[in-house]
Amino acid sequence: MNSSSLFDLIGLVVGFVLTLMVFSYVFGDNFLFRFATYTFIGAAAGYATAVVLRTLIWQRYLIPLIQNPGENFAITAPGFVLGIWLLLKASPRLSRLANMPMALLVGVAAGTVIGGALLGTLFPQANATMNALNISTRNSLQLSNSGLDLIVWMINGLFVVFGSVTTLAYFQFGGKAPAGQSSALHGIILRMAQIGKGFIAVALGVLFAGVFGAALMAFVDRVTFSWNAIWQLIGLFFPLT
Amino acid sequence: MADIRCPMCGKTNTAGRETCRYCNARLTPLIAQPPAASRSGAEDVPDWLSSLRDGSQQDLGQESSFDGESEAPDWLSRLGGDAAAAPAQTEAVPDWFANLDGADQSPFASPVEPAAPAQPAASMSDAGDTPLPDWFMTSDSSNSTLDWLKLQDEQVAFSQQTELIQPAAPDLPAAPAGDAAEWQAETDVPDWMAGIQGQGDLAGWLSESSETPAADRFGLGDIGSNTFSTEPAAEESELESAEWLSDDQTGQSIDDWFAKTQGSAAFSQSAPQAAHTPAQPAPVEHSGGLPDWLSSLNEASPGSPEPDQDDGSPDWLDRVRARRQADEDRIAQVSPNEVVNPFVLSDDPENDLSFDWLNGSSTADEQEALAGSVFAAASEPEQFAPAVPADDTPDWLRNLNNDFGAVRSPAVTARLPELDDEEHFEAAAPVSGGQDEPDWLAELTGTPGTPVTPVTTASVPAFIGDEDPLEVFDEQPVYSQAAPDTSFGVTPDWLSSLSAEDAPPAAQVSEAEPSEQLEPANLPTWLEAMRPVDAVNLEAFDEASEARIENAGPLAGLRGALPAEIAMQGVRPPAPYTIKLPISADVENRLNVLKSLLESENSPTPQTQKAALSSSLLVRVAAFFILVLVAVLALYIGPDQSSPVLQMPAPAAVLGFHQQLLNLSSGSHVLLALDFEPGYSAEMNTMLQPLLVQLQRQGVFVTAVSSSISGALIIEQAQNDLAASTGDPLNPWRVQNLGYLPGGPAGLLAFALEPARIIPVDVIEQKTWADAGLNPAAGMDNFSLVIVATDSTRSVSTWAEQVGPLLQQNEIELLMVSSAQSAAVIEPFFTTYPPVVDGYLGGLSDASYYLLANQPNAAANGPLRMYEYAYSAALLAVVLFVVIGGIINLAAASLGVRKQPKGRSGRGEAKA
Repeated sequence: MNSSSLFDLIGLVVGFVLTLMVFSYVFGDNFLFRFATYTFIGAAAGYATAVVLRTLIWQRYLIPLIQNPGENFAITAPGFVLGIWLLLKASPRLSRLANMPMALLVGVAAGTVIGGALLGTLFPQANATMNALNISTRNSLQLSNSGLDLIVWMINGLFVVFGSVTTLAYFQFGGKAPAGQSSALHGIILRMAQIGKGFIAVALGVLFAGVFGAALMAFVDRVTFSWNAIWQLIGLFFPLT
Repeated sequence: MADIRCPMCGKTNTAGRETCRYCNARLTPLIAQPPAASRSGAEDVPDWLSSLRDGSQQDLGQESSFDGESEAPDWLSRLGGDAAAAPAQTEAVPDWFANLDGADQSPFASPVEPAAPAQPAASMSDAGDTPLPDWFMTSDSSNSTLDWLKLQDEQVAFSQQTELIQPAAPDLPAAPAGDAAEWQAETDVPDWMAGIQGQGDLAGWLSESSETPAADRFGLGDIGSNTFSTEPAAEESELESAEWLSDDQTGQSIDDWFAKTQGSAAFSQSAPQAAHTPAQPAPVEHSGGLPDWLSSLNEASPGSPEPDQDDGSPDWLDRVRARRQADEDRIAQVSPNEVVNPFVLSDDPENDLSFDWLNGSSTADEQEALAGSVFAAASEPEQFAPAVPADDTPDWLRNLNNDFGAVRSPAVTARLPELDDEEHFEAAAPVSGGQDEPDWLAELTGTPGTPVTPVTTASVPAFIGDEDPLEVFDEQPVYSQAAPDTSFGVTPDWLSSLSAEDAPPAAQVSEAEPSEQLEPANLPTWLEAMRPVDAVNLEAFDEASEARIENAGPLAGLRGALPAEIAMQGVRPPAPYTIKLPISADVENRLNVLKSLLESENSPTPQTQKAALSSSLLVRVAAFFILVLVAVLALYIGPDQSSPVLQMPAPAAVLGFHQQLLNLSSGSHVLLALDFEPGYSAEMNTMLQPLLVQLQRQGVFVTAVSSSISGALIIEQAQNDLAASTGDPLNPWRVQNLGYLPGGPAGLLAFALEPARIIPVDVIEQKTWADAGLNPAAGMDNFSLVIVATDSTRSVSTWAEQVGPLLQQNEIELLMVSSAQSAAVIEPFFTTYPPVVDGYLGGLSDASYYLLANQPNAAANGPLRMYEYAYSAALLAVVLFVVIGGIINLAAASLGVRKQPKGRSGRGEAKA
């Protein structure tokens, strides 16, 4: 057995053992499950540290400064300084001094996310909802114009529009507060909100099904890995003819 | 020198001081010196008044020369100076008058220029053999004797301006024009009086109506209310018939008036001699020219008048002298307890100098009105008794002094509503010290029936020439109305009979029967409950304030002043009142629950011992083993190789994804982003295998990047899996591994703008963009297609939001390979127009469709099919678990309701 096969075997055994440890959670929280969990966290943290140190700090800040400090100093130095400055957050006494780089970080992130949300999600989604029943949009997609297809397309569009409106009505919190009573939505808004609640429930159900399917797929994969690992080990110790 | 008592603090100071050394209050009032040359009507104070004041200042400090020998009052003595200043008389003018300094001989003469101050002795020496009496002399020669008589018109102006007194404008006799001497001779009016230049008839002014009260004659108004009428003495103030002053009237004449003054002088003589006797002007020696009647006044003793003396004096003067003597005799005969009317000098009604209001001839109403007046207080000699014997100031004049500072009674207020000058009437309350105050003063101050307290610090008297009334009462004993000082003079019977019991009805309210008093109001209970009576200790406040008499400060002498200290001591915070809000039973129950929760936080709860085998554990274990069994069986059995893979048409997204891959040309570059976690690598790698095989077959160069920190490993793992699947593990597919892309959305946006700057070299082989055949400056334009493989919705939205718009601008398609859980999020980006995502594979099913469309043979036998078969079996098992469990729970719930105790009924029975 060559080295690669040996490491593959070790990896196989370690993986199988860790998989069984995780499966032990079926019987409740126990030491094996915690061991496996802590091992995974540690390994992941160590790998992440190694990747950051190597790929970011060494390759993208230190090597450019060493090779060409004059040209790369203006590019790399500010980021390097801000990064070290941000390390002051670890100290309770000096954490206030790191508010400046933290503010810069938060501001850039907020601006990026907000801009992307507006330009990448809000406007396109609203445009899509408005054009759900636009026949010209359908034609541009080069879809079939048969009667059944048109009906299906129209029903689909109605569902999209109606579902979008009622879902947005569910998040309307501008109700009036009568004397001595708590605030409540207006009559028609209240009805639309109740219908939107249904659409939201369906959407959440779809998302849950997807998450369940992904988890089930991962379970099947682990079961398959374990099944194959058992046969390989058996075959290793008990070679089959 | 006599000490001066401070009107503010009541402490004694030396006579020479102008301000008190204790409280810095002024001891002597400020008296403006009247301009010498100006006698215009604009003056507020007439000359006769100012002259008296000026004389009083000079009199202070001087030894009293009025030791009983001279009976003339000081004010009259000061007039002597005016007389001395009179111009030389004409032939008709007596010598004594002619010798007066600077005096104008004619009654119509212009205002006399103030002559140079001359020695009174020298001036009087020119008047005649007999020296002028002291009371006739004044050191201020600038004041003319005629001024105060002559300028009666100014009295009206004075009263209007001061609003204190409206002395009667005497009706001076209308002197014929030109012949003043003849007029004077006819009327037999003294020269000094004849020079009066004023309105009306002198006889009329001097004459006196017997019916007219003296108070009215002098425009004093309601003397009973201690007030001075502001109304011009048109009707009442006129001395309609100054009979007592006129000489040719049957009524009282000037002699009578002088007699009264002498009488008052007699009273003042007999008054208790105070230790501090105000100074009296020194007797002025004068030579001839003095009329005999004046000289007789100066020489005559108080007890030895000589009414019958024929010394050439006018008759009226003789009568004055006679009455004075009679008055003295009468006083000598009066018992100490008897109040003598000083103005009633004899029983002769004709010679009775008393005013009607004092004579008792006035109506009962008038008597009552005057009961609490200053003149009523005149029955109290201690109030007005000028203790200095030399003070011959008539009572009305003395009252005028004192009343300047007297308390203004409500009657006064009602009568004089326009009087706003409280300073003139504000009572400098009598000096406290335990002494009683007179009834009239007590009445004015609202404390009737209280012991009389001498007025000592009321105010600075207007006529400073008078003795300081403070000194009068300085060492006097407590005066009571029952023990009047008879030396003051004769008081009318009706006045003497006045006592506390005879006080006006207003003063007797407190002595009324209790039954007549108003009972305290009975407040309703609800109003009584609202009263915060407990907040203030009113009893302590009342008890402390009633009996206390301020003895210092501006409130000296006042009784019942509100002491701030006592008031504050009595104040205490109000009692707390509990407020009970009405709440419903539901709210109360919630409050009890909340209260119990809060209380239970600190109390330990015993841990319940859980069973080793619980139903939930068994169910969980059973479900696990069942799922494992199904998956193993599916893998073991495997799909039916003969059955068709998929019969349904492929979704549009799959078709679009497939179409975009087919459009790639050989040698093009594709950016592959692997943003999924290692835990989902089985599904994702299974889905990526057909894609990578497709790309490898088309000769496309792949540049891989990952926003996950383990992206480099994921890319490498995918590369190894591809090599194993293609059957050439020694020559794996070359992929440029850029590794980890930090920064999240911001890093992704920056990479989309300048990818060569963000990640300049390969992670594994350290190849630059140029080595890989890419243009560093081109950025994303180096790639024909961007494929994103992700398992999270956040990654899908981030790539679509940050990179999608830029790719749309550069006309670069974006494809996505997503796990089943994030497939729903990609659909909107695919259906919008223009689409952000041009195609995607959402889950194993879409991957199977893609594989079927792309690799039909592999779709039937590949690992994707195996995973798909096992996944389907396991999913079926889960669905069965959910359905069966729901049915069981529903049955159990229905069975549990039926097993409730019989005592608890349903809804319908509960309502009954």
